[in-house]
Amino acid sequence: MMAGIFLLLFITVIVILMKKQFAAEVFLFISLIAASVLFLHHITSHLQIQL
Amino acid sequence: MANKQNNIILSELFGILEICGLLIVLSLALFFQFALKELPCPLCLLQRVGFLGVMLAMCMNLQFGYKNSHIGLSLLFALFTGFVSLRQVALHVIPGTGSYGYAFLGYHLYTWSFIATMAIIMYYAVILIFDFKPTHQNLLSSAWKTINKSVIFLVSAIILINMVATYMECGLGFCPENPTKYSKE
Repeated sequence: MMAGIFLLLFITVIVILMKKQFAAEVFLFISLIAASVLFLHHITSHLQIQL
Repeated sequence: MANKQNNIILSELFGILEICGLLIVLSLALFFQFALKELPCPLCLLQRVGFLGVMLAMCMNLQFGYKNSHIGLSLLFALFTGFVSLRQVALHVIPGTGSYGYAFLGYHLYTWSFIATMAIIMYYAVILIFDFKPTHQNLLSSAWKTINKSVIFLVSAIILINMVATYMECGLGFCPENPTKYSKE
Protein backbone atom coordinates (compact mmCIF):
# COMPACT_ATOMS: atom_id res chain seq x y z
CA MET A 1 0.00 0.00 0.00
CA MET A 2 2.59 2.52 1.16
CA ALA A 3 4.99 1.48 -1.62
CA GLY A 4 2.13 2.19 -4.05
CA ILE A 5 1.93 5.80 -2.85
CA PHE A 6 5.68 6.18 -3.41
CA LEU A 7 5.14 4.70 -6.88
CA LEU A 8 2.48 7.35 -7.54
CA LEU A 9 4.96 10.05 -6.45
CA PHE A 10 7.60 8.54 -8.75
CA ILE A 11 5.15 8.64 -11.67
CA THR A 12 4.46 12.29 -10.77
CA VAL A 13 8.14 13.22 -10.97
CA ILE A 14 8.40 11.52 -14.38
CA VAL A 15 5.34 13.45 -15.57
CA ILE A 16 6.96 16.68 -14.29
CA LEU A 17 10.09 15.89 -16.31
CA MET A 18 7.85 15.30 -19.35
CA LYS A 19 6.51 18.86 -18.78
CA LYS A 20 2.85 17.82 -18.44
CA GLN A 21 1.73 20.29 -15.81
CA PHE A 22 -1.95 19.34 -15.43
CA ALA A 23 -1.21 15.60 -15.34
CA ALA A 24 1.46 16.18 -12.67
CA GLU A 25 -1.01 18.14 -10.55
CA VAL A 26 -3.61 15.38 -10.90
CA PHE A 27 -1.12 12.64 -9.94
CA LEU A 28 0.07 14.67 -6.96
CA PHE A 29 -3.52 15.20 -5.82
CA ILE A 30 -4.30 11.48 -6.16
CA SER A 31 -1.20 10.73 -4.04
CA LEU A 32 -2.48 13.11 -1.38
CA ILE A 33 -5.91 11.43 -1.35
CA ALA A 34 -4.31 7.95 -1.13
CA ALA A 35 -2.04 9.04 1.73
CA SER A 36 -4.99 10.60 3.55
CA VAL A 37 -6.98 7.35 3.22
CA LEU A 38 -4.06 5.39 4.74
CA PHE A 39 -3.83 7.94 7.57
CA LEU A 40 -7.56 7.62 8.26
CA HIS A 41 -7.23 3.84 8.21
CA HIS A 42 -4.42 4.10 10.77
CA ILE A 43 -6.49 6.33 13.05
CA THR A 44 -9.67 4.23 12.85
CA SER A 45 -7.84 0.93 13.38
CA HIS A 46 -5.81 2.35 16.26
CA LEU A 47 -8.74 3.84 18.12
CA GLN A 48 -11.12 0.96 17.30
CA ILE A 49 -13.78 3.37 16.10
CA GLN A 50 -15.50 3.82 12.78
CA LEU A 51 -15.97 7.14 11.02
CA MET B 1 15.89 44.15 -18.10
CA ALA B 2 18.76 43.60 -15.64
CA ASN B 3 16.28 43.89 -12.78
CA LYS B 4 14.05 41.26 -14.39
CA GLN B 5 17.05 38.94 -14.86
CA ASN B 6 18.01 39.42 -11.17
CA ASN B 7 14.43 38.54 -10.18
CA ILE B 8 14.58 35.33 -12.21
CA ILE B 9 17.90 34.29 -10.68
CA LEU B 10 16.59 35.10 -7.19
CA SER B 11 13.46 32.99 -7.70
CA GLU B 12 15.53 30.13 -9.14
CA LEU B 13 17.85 30.25 -6.13
CA PHE B 14 14.86 30.28 -3.77
CA GLY B 15 13.32 27.32 -5.61
CA ILE B 16 16.50 25.26 -5.50
CA LEU B 17 17.30 26.15 -1.87
CA GLU B 18 13.82 25.19 -0.62
CA ILE B 19 14.08 21.79 -2.35
CA CYS B 20 17.62 21.25 -0.99
CA GLY B 21 16.36 21.97 2.54
CA LEU B 22 13.75 19.23 2.23
CA LEU B 23 16.28 16.90 0.57
CA ILE B 24 18.44 17.25 3.70
CA VAL B 25 15.42 16.36 5.90
CA LEU B 26 14.66 13.22 3.88
CA SER B 27 18.34 12.24 3.64
CA LEU B 28 18.52 12.44 7.42
CA ALA B 29 15.52 10.09 7.65
CA LEU B 30 17.24 7.66 5.27
CA PHE B 31 20.47 7.94 7.32
CA PHE B 32 18.50 6.97 10.45
CA GLN B 33 16.95 4.04 8.55
CA PHE B 34 20.06 2.57 6.94
CA ALA B 35 22.97 3.65 9.17
CA LEU B 36 21.28 3.44 12.59
CA LYS B 37 18.97 0.53 11.58
CA GLU B 38 15.85 2.38 12.73
CA LEU B 39 12.95 1.09 10.64
CA PRO B 40 10.28 3.71 9.90
CA CYS B 41 6.78 3.20 11.34
CA PRO B 42 3.65 3.73 9.15
CA LEU B 43 3.22 7.30 10.43
CA CYS B 44 6.92 8.04 9.72
CA LEU B 45 6.42 6.82 6.13
CA LEU B 46 3.31 8.98 5.76
CA GLN B 47 5.35 12.00 6.91
CA ARG B 48 7.93 11.15 4.24
CA VAL B 49 5.13 11.04 1.65
CA GLY B 50 4.01 14.48 2.84
CA PHE B 51 7.50 15.98 2.56
CA LEU B 52 7.96 14.40 -0.88
CA GLY B 53 4.62 15.89 -1.97
CA VAL B 54 5.73 19.36 -0.85
CA MET B 55 9.01 18.80 -2.67
CA LEU B 56 7.27 17.71 -5.90
CA ALA B 57 5.07 20.82 -5.84
CA MET B 58 8.29 22.83 -5.44
CA CYS B 59 9.76 20.92 -8.41
CA MET B 60 6.73 22.04 -10.42
CA ASN B 61 7.62 25.62 -9.43
CA LEU B 62 11.07 25.02 -10.93
CA GLN B 63 9.76 23.37 -14.08
CA PHE B 64 6.68 25.47 -14.85
CA GLY B 65 7.22 28.66 -12.79
CA TYR B 66 5.54 29.73 -9.52
CA LYS B 67 1.77 29.17 -9.77
CA ASN B 68 -1.03 29.31 -7.21
CA SER B 69 -1.97 25.68 -7.86
CA HIS B 70 1.56 24.50 -6.95
CA ILE B 71 1.60 26.58 -3.79
CA GLY B 72 -1.86 25.22 -2.90
CA LEU B 73 -0.69 21.62 -3.35
CA SER B 74 2.42 22.34 -1.25
CA LEU B 75 0.24 23.76 1.51
CA LEU B 76 -2.11 20.75 1.40
CA PHE B 77 0.81 18.31 1.70
CA ALA B 78 2.37 20.42 4.48
CA LEU B 79 -0.94 20.39 6.38
CA PHE B 80 -1.21 16.63 5.88
CA THR B 81 2.34 16.11 7.21
CA GLY B 82 1.56 18.40 10.14
CA PHE B 83 -1.53 16.35 11.05
CA VAL B 84 0.38 13.06 10.82
CA SER B 85 3.33 14.27 12.90
CA LEU B 86 1.00 15.83 15.47
CA ARG B 87 -0.81 12.49 15.71
CA GLN B 88 2.51 10.77 16.39
CA VAL B 89 3.50 13.39 18.95
CA ALA B 90 0.11 12.84 20.63
CA LEU B 91 0.77 9.08 20.81
CA HIS B 92 3.92 9.68 22.88
CA VAL B 93 3.18 12.94 24.67
CA ILE B 94 1.87 11.39 27.91
CA PRO B 95 4.72 10.58 30.34
CA GLY B 96 5.43 6.85 30.46
CA THR B 97 4.20 6.12 26.92
CA GLY B 98 7.75 5.95 25.55
CA SER B 99 8.92 7.25 22.21
CA TYR B 100 9.72 5.96 18.73
CA GLY B 101 13.31 5.93 17.48
CA TYR B 102 16.32 8.06 18.28
CA ALA B 103 16.23 11.74 19.20
CA PHE B 104 18.05 14.32 17.09
CA LEU B 105 19.23 17.48 18.89
CA GLY B 106 16.91 16.70 21.79
CA TYR B 107 13.72 16.13 19.76
CA HIS B 108 12.45 13.01 18.01
CA LEU B 109 12.10 13.04 14.24
CA TYR B 110 8.29 13.35 14.36
CA THR B 111 8.59 16.49 16.51
CA TRP B 112 11.11 17.94 14.04
CA SER B 113 8.71 16.99 11.28
CA PHE B 114 5.93 19.04 12.91
CA ILE B 115 8.28 22.02 13.34
CA ALA B 116 9.41 21.73 9.70
CA THR B 117 5.85 21.63 8.34
CA MET B 118 4.90 24.71 10.37
CA ALA B 119 7.98 26.44 8.92
CA ILE B 120 6.91 25.45 5.38
CA ILE B 121 3.38 26.80 5.93
CA MET B 122 4.78 30.09 7.29
CA TYR B 123 7.23 30.29 4.36
CA TYR B 124 4.39 29.95 1.84
CA ALA B 125 2.31 32.46 3.79
CA VAL B 126 5.14 34.99 3.39
CA ILE B 127 5.44 34.19 -0.34
CA LEU B 128 1.68 34.75 -0.76
CA ILE B 129 1.73 37.96 1.29
CA PHE B 130 4.50 39.46 -0.86
CA ASP B 131 3.10 37.89 -4.07
CA PHE B 132 6.54 36.53 -4.95
CA LYS B 133 5.98 34.69 -8.25
CA PRO B 134 8.46 36.19 -10.70
CA THR B 135 9.80 33.17 -12.64
CA HIS B 136 9.57 33.40 -16.42
CA GLN B 137 10.70 29.97 -17.57
CA ASN B 138 11.22 31.06 -21.18
CA LEU B 139 13.89 33.53 -20.09
CA LEU B 140 15.93 30.97 -18.16
CA SER B 141 19.42 30.25 -19.46
CA SER B 142 20.29 26.68 -20.40
CA ALA B 143 22.65 26.45 -17.39
CA TRP B 144 19.75 27.13 -15.00
CA LYS B 145 17.57 24.63 -16.85
CA THR B 146 20.30 21.98 -16.41
CA ILE B 147 20.57 22.74 -12.68
CA ASN B 148 16.75 22.49 -12.38
CA LYS B 149 16.73 19.11 -14.12
CA SER B 150 19.56 17.84 -11.88
CA VAL B 151 17.63 18.82 -8.74
CA ILE B 152 14.50 17.07 -10.04
CA PHE B 153 16.55 13.93 -10.84
CA LEU B 154 17.89 14.03 -7.27
CA VAL B 155 14.31 14.18 -5.97
CA SER B 156 13.33 11.22 -8.17
CA ALA B 157 16.30 9.25 -6.76
CA ILE B 158 15.13 9.92 -3.19
CA ILE B 159 11.59 8.79 -4.12
CA LEU B 160 12.94 5.62 -5.74
CA ILE B 161 15.08 4.75 -2.68
CA ASN B 162 12.05 5.29 -0.42
CA MET B 163 9.83 3.18 -2.68
CA VAL B 164 12.23 0.22 -2.70
CA ALA B 165 12.93 0.49 1.06
CA THR B 166 9.19 0.64 1.82
CA TYR B 167 8.50 -2.39 -0.39
CA MET B 168 11.29 -4.27 1.41
CA GLU B 169 9.80 -3.33 4.79
CA CYS B 170 6.05 -3.66 4.20
CA GLY B 171 5.63 -5.57 0.94
CA LEU B 172 2.35 -4.79 -0.81
CA GLY B 173 0.16 -4.83 2.32
CA PHE B 174 -0.18 -2.56 5.33
CA CYS B 175 3.01 -1.73 7.25
CA PRO B 176 3.46 -3.24 10.74
CA GLU B 177 2.89 -0.84 13.66
CA ASN B 178 6.29 -1.53 15.24
CA PRO B 179 8.55 -2.93 12.51
CA THR B 180 11.62 -4.84 13.71
CA LYS B 181 12.88 -6.31 10.45
CA TYR B 182 12.42 -6.09 6.68
CA SER B 183 9.68 -8.45 5.48
CA LYS B 184 11.44 -9.11 2.13
CA GLU B 185 14.85 -10.19 3.42
